Amino acid sequence: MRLLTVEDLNVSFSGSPAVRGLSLSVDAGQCVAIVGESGSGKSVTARALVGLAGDNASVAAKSLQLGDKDLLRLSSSQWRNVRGRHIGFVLQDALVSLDPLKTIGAEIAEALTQHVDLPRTQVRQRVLDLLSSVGIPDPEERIGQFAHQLSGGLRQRALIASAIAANPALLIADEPTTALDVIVQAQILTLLREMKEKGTGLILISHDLAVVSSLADHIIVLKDGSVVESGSPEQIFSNPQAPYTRALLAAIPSAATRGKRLGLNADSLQRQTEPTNRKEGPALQARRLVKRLGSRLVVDDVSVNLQIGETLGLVGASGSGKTTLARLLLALQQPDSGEVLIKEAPWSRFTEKQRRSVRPRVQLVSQDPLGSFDPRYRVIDILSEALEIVGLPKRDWAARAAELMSSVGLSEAHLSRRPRQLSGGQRQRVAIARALAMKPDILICDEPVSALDVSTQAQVLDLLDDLKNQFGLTVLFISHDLGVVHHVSDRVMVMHAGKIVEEGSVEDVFLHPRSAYAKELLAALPRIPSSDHNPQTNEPRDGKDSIPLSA
Amino acid sequence: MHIARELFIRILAGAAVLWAAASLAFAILQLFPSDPVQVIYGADSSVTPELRNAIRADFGLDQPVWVQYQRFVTRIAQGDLGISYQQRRTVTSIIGSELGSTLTLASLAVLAAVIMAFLASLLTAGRKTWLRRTLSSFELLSVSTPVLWVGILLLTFFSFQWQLFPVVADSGWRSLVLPVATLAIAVFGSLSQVMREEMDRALEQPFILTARTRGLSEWAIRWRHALGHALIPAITISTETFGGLLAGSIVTEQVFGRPGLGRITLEAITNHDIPVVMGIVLFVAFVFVTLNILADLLYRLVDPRLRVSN
Repeated sequence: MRLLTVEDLNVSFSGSPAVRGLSLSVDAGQCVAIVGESGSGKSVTARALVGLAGDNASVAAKSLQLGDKDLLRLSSSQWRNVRGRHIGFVLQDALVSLDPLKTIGAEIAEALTQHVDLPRTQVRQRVLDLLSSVGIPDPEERIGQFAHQLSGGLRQRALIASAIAANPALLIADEPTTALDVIVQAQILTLLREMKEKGTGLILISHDLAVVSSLADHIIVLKDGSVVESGSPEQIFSNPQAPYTRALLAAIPSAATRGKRLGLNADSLQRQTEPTNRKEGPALQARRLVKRLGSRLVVDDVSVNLQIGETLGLVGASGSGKTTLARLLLALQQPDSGEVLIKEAPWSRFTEKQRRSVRPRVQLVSQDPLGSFDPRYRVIDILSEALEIVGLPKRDWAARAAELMSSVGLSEAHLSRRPRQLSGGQRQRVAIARALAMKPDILICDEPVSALDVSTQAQVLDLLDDLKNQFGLTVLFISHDLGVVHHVSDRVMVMHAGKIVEEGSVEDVFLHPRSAYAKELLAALPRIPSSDHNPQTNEPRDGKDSIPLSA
Repeated sequence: MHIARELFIRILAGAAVLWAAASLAFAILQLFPSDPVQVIYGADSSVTPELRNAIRADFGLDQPVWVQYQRFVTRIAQGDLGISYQQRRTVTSIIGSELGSTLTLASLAVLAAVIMAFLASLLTAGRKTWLRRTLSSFELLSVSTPVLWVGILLLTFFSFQWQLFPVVADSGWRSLVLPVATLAIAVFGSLSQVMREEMDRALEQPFILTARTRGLSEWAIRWRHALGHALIPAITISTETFGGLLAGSIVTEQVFGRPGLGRITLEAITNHDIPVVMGIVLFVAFVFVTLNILADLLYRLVDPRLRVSN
């Protein structure tokens, strides 16, 4: 049964087009995926389909048909009847996709009572049923909880429950798993698949082809508001036509991409200088670290041995203690017991004054660069602050800043921008430049690409790889994304509930995992169907027709 | 259980603040002593040294400073604010007799301001309408105009020109309208500005989009989701202003010739009636401490994130 037909959808914001000529149709029990990077128009499309593209948006289409309703002719009160009742909408879990002042029970009940006439006494029972139907354990307890009391996975489930409360035939999910770690992501995808199998039509929006691959019956690839490719998953994955689709596929880090570049823009960064005569030995060691926060054991007897020149991957779900471990290694927090050594000096036992002269050598690149910048600073100020600390004379700042910008692939023009005027990828490049300004030996990267699109992520990973080779850096790479860790690391540690449950070379851990947790993580990793999904290898490296993925 | 403990700690801390305020006031008075004899009999009276000493002993001023301090603190702890030099009544009874009038004025003014600010932000947040522009201009005007001027303007038009309301206070409700309006206008400006800004911000959050995708009407979204987020700053500002109005509606009370704490404060200061000044200082400190505790409780009521979760 055809649920939704969209023909030649065009959305523009005060004259500038955001979506051009998009067509799609969704049947009951079918999933259509819209894939593209941020700014491609995928979220605008989703919002236009529920009449919420915004006040300054103009939406036009040849046809926009939901069952027997012509969506182009709806009054605002008719739209309200469509939203929630006929089309459910699931946003990406951000802490604030649910009202922080309301219980999830109240949020779901609101969606329910808006469209369904139920006596008060039955509302609670229906909400409890919904909570269990989306797999939330202990619904009796959860119904009275607030968003901040729930984990990301539970919040996403609550969002789904509120979207399906009035039993809509069509569900639109906008990046429903983006903020989640792999295991929870797999659970949410399973939940969506179950709903699809029960006959719900699904429009799934994501920046990640791997995520949609297991669910989609039809995939639409969007770039700059235009459809660059539209077809079945088999066709898209085994025989992608558009160069952009190929680039997107190649950008997904995985086992197959190890040692290869992810982005297609073989830019000036490729000064593949041989690593300067590499020293041997431990760069940073941690011995039996223990850290409690309140009564919770966050880091439980963890030892780390980071060798000079290697990239050590640290994987684990959110809440596993990765970030606390990073803070201990940086000596931003003190362990309850155990110690951290840098080049065999007792780093964690130094006074902060003693540490200060060593700090430049250990730098941090964090997940949220925006939050790590003073919003009033321009990029030049951000870099100058670092250059001042390492004692560079003021007259050399500008030249050094320009040099740093070019090492991270930005231009001097970016120096006068403020953080908010940069894209996510550019911000992360600035954060890396700031770290490099200190001439570090060790880079601790805490989820450096988790907030980025697959395509931007590819560029930042390539950049980190280049810089590592160029400057002989030692890297601790923390991520919840196994594909990324597999791509970048020489050795891997798997962290779970404060403990290192597995440690070894990438091949050992990824191909022959021993611990149950590592096996579970690997099973949850979304994969592109074909084993060798790297069509880039068939392309000439400097092919003129290759499309650079814009940052 | 938890909240009871928290409350207990807050009350202890409040008591400490009051003690500090009392000590500070006491110390300042030691630096600028005033003579009750002068206050009672005037500057150039001929009072015999015996009588003078008797009066001073009456107020305990013949004792060493530390004994005075000890007595002072003990008295305060028992709720005894002392006796006015001039009126020979207890300070507690003076404050008590004037409090009602000020309390009525301040409560009504804050209530009116809160209601107006609620309506203004519900109607105009997240919108670019003429109403918003008008209200914004009015708020700016209200924030930047001195209370005295507003009071005089209101009197000029509503009392003298159109004779709708009495010029001088009587006991009827009509005499309350203009003073309440004067203060409410002053409070409304900043309250409405902050509430709308908070609501603007809330309306841009993803949870509002979530609510819209459920098919909620614009009004329901504002009422059920956005308004709550404007409550936190509303609580902060209205409790703080309420305290401020109790302590210092001096100007308004003078302009409209109303009795109240403002007027007795002014009188006590001009007459060097130290026990009354001290009593009012302590009373005001007490009001602020109490309102702060109240505000903290209200925050928790509004925002579950501030409740300690286990």
